[in-house]
Amino acid sequence: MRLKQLCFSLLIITLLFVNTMQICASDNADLAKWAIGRARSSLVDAYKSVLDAEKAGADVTSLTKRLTNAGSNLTNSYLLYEVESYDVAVALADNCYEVGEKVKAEAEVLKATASTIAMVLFWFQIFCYIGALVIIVFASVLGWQVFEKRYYRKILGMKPEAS
Amino acid sequence: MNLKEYRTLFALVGIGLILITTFAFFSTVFPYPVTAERFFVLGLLGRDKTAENYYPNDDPNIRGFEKVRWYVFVQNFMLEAQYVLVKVKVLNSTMTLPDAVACTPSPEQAIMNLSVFLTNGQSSTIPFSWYLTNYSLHGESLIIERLVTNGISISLNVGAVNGSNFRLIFEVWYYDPAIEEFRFEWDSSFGLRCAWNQMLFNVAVEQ
Repeated sequence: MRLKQLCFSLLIITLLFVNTMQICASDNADLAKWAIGRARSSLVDAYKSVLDAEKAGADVTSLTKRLTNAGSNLTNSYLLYEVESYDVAVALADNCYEVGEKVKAEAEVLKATASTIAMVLFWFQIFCYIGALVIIVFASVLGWQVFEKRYYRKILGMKPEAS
Repeated sequence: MNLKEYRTLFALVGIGLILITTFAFFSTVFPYPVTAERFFVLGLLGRDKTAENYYPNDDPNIRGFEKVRWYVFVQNFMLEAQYVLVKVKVLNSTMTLPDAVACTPSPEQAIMNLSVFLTNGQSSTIPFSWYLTNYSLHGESLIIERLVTNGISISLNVGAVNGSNFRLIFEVWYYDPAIEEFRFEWDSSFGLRCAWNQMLFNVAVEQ
């Protein structure tokens, strides 16, 4: 009777243990899947920010190198998820997410700086253009006046030819 | 020349200078849109990062645990930064290959994606090493069940008669922000283009 009770208790404990392990494994898998999805979104957002910064005229080479490393981590994270190494997959995905967020923030700063520089350069070019026009007009008018004076002086200085 | 003609000459020179300055200003501030061809460069290099020595002892009959080291070269000439995925697929001779004319990718599942971010003109050489760990014979068919790429074990199920004519396919995909998805084909300004490459190998059956 006691042996039966003992066997029954052991069976219950084993079932509970297996069930708990399955729940934990399932939780880890869900966590890894979520972390990978978050990292992927972060990389895409970072790429869009980098693209905007590049369009604004910023040099984004260093940012793309960092994103490449993060992308490599994301690839490995996904492959490790497939072979159920969830802990390492989460760690790599988290690293990818952090890099993505940092790059995104830096890209936005670079974009703002590049936009400011572009605006300053634009107004400088307009200023130079207007300056050049003013110089050309003044030089033309001044040049004409000098030329006109010399021309009259030359004409008045001429002596009539006696026939 | 009389004074009136000199005045006309001065006016013409002045107007000419104004026109040249205006043209220089507008071409600098509002440059003419570039219509250069947009493309990616994809190359596969051997273990010395050259177009040779792809297989150990130059023998494409690969044995189990025989490590093969390649480099995938990608360069971006799409005129802006790109998020590139090189999808790696293992196919046999009967599976559908990518179509370079219609620009359709192979419908088979990728075993891994090599991702790289490139600015315009920038290139990257991505290491790609692989070896077979598990394969089995079923009659005349040899099935690859597991291989290790870049240190990570991947399970798959691709078979070929006598283990011949397996191929590793490398497809260039890029992220298109307009549709928020990766795309295989792109508009090069001169028509649709795509980039893919393949390397054939056999699996040497050890008796």
